[in-house]
Amino acid sequence: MTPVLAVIFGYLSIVFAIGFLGHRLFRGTGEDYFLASRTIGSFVLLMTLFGTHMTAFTILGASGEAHLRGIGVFALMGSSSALIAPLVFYFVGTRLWWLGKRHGYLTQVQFFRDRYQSDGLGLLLFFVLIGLLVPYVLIGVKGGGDVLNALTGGAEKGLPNWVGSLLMCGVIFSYVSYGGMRSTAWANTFQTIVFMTVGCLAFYVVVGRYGGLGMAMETLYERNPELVRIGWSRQELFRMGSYLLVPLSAGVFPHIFGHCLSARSAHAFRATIVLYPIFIAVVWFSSVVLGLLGHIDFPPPIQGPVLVHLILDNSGGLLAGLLAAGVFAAIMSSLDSQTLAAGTIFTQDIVHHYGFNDGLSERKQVLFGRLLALIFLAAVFVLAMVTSRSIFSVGVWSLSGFAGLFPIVVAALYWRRSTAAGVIGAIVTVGGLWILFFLRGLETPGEYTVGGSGIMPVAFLVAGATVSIVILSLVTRPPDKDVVERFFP
Amino acid sequence: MHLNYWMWNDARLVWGFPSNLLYHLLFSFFLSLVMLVIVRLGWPRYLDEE
Repeated sequence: MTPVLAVIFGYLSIVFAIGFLGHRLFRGTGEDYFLASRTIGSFVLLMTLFGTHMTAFTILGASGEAHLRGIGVFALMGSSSALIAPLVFYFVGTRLWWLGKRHGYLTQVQFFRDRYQSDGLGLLLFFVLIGLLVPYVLIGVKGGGDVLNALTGGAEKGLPNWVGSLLMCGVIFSYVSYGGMRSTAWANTFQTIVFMTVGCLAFYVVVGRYGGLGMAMETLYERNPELVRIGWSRQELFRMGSYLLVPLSAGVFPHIFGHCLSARSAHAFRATIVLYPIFIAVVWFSSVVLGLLGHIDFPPPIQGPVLVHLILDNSGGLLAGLLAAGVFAAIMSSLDSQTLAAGTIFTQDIVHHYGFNDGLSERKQVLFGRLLALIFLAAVFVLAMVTSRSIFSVGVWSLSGFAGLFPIVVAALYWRRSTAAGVIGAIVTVGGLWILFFLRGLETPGEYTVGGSGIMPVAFLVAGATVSIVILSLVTRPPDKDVVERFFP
Repeated sequence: MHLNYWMWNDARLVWGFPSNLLYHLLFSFFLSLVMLVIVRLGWPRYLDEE
């Protein structure tokens, strides 16, 4: 066995063990399986939220994009997330936690169904969330396979892509299904520590090989000065401005929602809100700089992720294995939460609500949660094997769709006058616009912006949802005051 | 502050960092301080009541 594989197997064994340790505290109830009985404290909440939020998109996508486009990627997605995500946790995360604890919600659909007294709305939201979650999960499953393939010899000699994807899915399913949210949160904590540490280590080693950051950047500046500046143009301004809306997706992700509800108290969010920008800066900075440096020895176009080329070229054996484990950790810390979230919403919003009229026993809730997580993961694995779009482009479409739904979350939490018709109208608008832009995007080489203006589709999705919800809410009958007041402090 | 378009054409290196990258890195750290102030001074009371 090569050192790379040995380290990866060692890392997977530790994750496996942590997941099984989490099961020792399992209480056998649905709430414990899906939300760890709402007992997650500050440190684990920070680590698990961050690990869940940072995906293959961050590690492989950001470095790949920086490799092609330069430092602008950091501002585009890194510092914009550092600005938006903590505010989302402050305004949305804590309030959802408060409502979840008060009314016993386990999923977003339960909250919306109760808030607007509409089963139809709940069902529509369920399909939209799952539809958007699948491409996002695909990123992780594909990313794992791509990395293991590249690290073990590439297209000709390496392990087939499906091996890495299957290995990752197998380990994730084992601990997610065995220990539920607690195991997932604990494993995520470990994984976040691993990928942050290893990211810094990779940065240190690779930058060191180029003679330090200053010398490496000097080299890059001399060869490709366009990579070390953002470059002003009206289109870039629109692009950067509209990208600022993408991190709103954190307020809509079902997997982030689950983690928010698992907090022990609102106080537990404070560390997350304060430290999130620093965590994001550390991870994105390393990722973007490594992608940039890849340009020196591996100018595009290249086969496989640039990060892997750098790892193999600048380190060998044990270190390459450690760096590979770091990439796996970043991917798995999101994929496990997404798998748990998918199992949770299928179980609670479909099986429990429609199949058993909300009368499913605790034991059977857990059983269905496990079974449906398996089916979801297996379906995504098959899809991952037959799709080929790049990690970054798939990710942006999924994130944009989630971000487009953000106005309905804000309305549900802060606008008493919003109605079910308004929310349904907003979801339909986002769905329609998303499909329209996605189809246009397929016909456009490179990154699609609306009419070539530089404005990303997400801006129109958010605007469309906002206009729809406001107009339709104002022209429909106001909601029952007694119902509405249950959702406001 | 996030859209620092006035310096987007600046490719200078400052302490070895591309100036725009350094700006956004420092901006992220500054945000952490802002969040600390928000959490300290603007924490909604109802969240801790139950």
